Amino acid sequence: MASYVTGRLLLMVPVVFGVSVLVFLILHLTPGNPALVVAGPDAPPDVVRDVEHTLGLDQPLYVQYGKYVLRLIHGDLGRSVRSHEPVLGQLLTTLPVTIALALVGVALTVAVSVPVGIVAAYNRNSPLDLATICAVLAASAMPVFAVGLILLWIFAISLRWFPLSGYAPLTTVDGWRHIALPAVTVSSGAVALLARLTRSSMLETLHQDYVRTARAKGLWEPGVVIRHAFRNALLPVITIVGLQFGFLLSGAVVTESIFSLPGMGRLLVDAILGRDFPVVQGAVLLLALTFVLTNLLVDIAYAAVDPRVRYA
Amino acid sequence: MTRIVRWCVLALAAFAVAVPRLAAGAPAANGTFTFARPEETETLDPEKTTAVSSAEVDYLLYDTLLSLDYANGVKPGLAEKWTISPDGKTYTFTLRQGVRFASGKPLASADVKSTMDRWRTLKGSPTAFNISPVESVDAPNPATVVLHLKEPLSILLINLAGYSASILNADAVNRAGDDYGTGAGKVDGTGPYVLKEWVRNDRLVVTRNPAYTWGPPLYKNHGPAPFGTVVFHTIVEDTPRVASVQVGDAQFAESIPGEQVPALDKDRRVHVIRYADLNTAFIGFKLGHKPLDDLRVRQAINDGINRQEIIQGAYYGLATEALGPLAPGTPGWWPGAEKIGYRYDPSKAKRILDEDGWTQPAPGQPRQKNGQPLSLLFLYSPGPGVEQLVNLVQSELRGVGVAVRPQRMEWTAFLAALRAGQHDMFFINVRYVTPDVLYFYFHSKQRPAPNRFDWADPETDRLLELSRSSTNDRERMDAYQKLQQIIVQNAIWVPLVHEKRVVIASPNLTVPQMHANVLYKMLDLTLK
Repeated sequence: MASYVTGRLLLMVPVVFGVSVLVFLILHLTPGNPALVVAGPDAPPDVVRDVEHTLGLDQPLYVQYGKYVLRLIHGDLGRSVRSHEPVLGQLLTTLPVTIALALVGVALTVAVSVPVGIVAAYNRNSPLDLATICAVLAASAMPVFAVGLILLWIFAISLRWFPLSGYAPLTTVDGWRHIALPAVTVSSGAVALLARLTRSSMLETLHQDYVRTARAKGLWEPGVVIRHAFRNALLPVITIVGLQFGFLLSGAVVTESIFSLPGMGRLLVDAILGRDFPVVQGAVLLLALTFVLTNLLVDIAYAAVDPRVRYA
Repeated sequence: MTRIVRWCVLALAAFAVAVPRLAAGAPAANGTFTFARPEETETLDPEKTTAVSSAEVDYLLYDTLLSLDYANGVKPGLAEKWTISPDGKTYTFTLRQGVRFASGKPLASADVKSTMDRWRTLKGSPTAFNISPVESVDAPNPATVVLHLKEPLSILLINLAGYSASILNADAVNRAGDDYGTGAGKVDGTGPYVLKEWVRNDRLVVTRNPAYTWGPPLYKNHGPAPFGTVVFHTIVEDTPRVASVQVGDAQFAESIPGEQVPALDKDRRVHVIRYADLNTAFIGFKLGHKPLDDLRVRQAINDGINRQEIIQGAYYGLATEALGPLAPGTPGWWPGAEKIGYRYDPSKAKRILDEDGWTQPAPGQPRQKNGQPLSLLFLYSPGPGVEQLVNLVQSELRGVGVAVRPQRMEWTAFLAALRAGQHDMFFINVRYVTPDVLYFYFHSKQRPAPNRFDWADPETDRLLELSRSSTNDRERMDAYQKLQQIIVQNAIWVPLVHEKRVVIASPNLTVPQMHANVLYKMLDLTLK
């Protein structure tokens, strides 16, 4: 197991390298560069050239990339070309917001969809099955921005139960009030997927021989469902939860914009639109790392849930 | 069991931390002014940015040698008086006494000198060209600063009143180095407010500088500032930004979408303020692309566009017709544009094109000449009302037989495409405070951008240079008027509209007048 984890961690090096090359190329081949944004639309041509020169954009691509990698090796992600702040600092202030939203969002998704899926599978084709699935499907059929704006309108603007915008750390009650609506918004889409998945996975295991054996032994029915059936139905669920978590870590841009959360998603999109190359590169690297790590955690979780899964 | 105890302790601790925060976070009607904006401040180093969102904060944290009144007239600021040598090449400023930076250090001419020297030599500064003729700066005594220019620059005084010319504490700049302007403790100015906290993409908090008594003459209150705290809150989306004023979280919000204005006018929780700043929305032609080298074609397009329809359909009535490149009210504005400017006249447009040899093969099809269709690539970047505007222009021009191929581009790619000259025509709205904007757009050495029209005319260049170098106001204003005449007669643009700006305020906020810099230093605002 330890050697497996080490191997996977080592695999991150080529992944990060590949990602850095890709991002670098895509950014530099996209029309427009940060000098146009920094200098503004009415800047004289020599000012744009001067800014380009200061940012090193007038050098050949391989020189620019080489310099970037050299700095990266020294742990320097560079400075934002627009705010002139070190990129690392910007990432470290936005990452906690994104992680908080991802954690609460995923927890909420699981808390709603797994019980719904189990109940629906256990009472297959009953009105209850139909009703629960209809409800989650309806919630996820709406686009995220619509869900967000509707929640905002009802609970923040009309009822004033939750704050309109902003963020506070989750160590405070205020933080939970700020994260509540965004978390519901990001989970609205994933809930249906996960509930359906739990349901079909459960249906499969509920008909397995070992479940019948467990029942034949006279075990307590909820114990049969949870310990015997559900545990075995969990693998695909874990996969989706892991993917969803990784997806949310890459920033729920729309949700962050609607609720004015200062997270990575907005940082990244602003940086892309402003061609803020160092910020985009730093953020994407960090995302690639977290994605690889999340996948690793998911694989470890497989082994924990299913003793048959062993990593040599 | 121990685990439960631990959780209880944690929960209690969280509660203990949260309660005082909740109290502090409650909207304090007395003393806190919250300003909701769609864009985040870039940097608080005034010499490194062109973002309006940064300028709005800079005006609170810093002062400038000179200030602008409501009519964009130059008034004293940190300099109480100034003299200009007859040749226009030496400016001598006398600094006001008793001014201190937020850190407590008294303002001295050495700070002004170091600010100006840093600005004009800062590598990659997007605004340094504002004082490019300045050759050297002297500080002969602590109260006097002298700028020496290699050639006169008529708009120097106005440039010295802009946020980019904010006077910085030389010691703070040296101490912070590259980090200057990136956060609290790395900013030091003489302005009415002091930076307290900055959480990017969320809020920027400034607190009153109690020692401030040197506010510019346009204000009745010269300091200290009326609010104990000003919070700039970044809310990207329109709905929550407007709602923040409706529910009382914020007292002021900018960038209000035109389509919401009729409903907001009836909403008693907000007060809608419309005001005119100097701006012109226009379509620019690439004269080097055939057939736009033909003046008749450009004139016909000017005649074929219905500005009234655009004002209603794209601006919800919140704009006025533009007949020339500059808005009425700009110094040096040319009244002749009202007489000879283009007004919607589709039959005239058709007649011109007919006479010019452009024939329509069939109704609804683009006109042709020598087998070439009259079809133009129209680049634009999305914004409020822009999509509607482009559709209207396309359908109006189709009516006179001109085909328009609109292509939507994201802002940075749009600027790059214009710089590369990919357009036949493009749409932009330009904002300005002086007629010197003409220099940026029409001087031949400003090609390929912002002179995105290929306009190269020796007489235009001569007049533009004269407008910058002349020390005679009459001569300068004459030059501006002649320039506007040249631009209209040559139909280099289709001037479309002068847009009105809309902001909303809570009803208990009194805003005496809007400034070209929005709320500027906020000294005369009151909150009941």
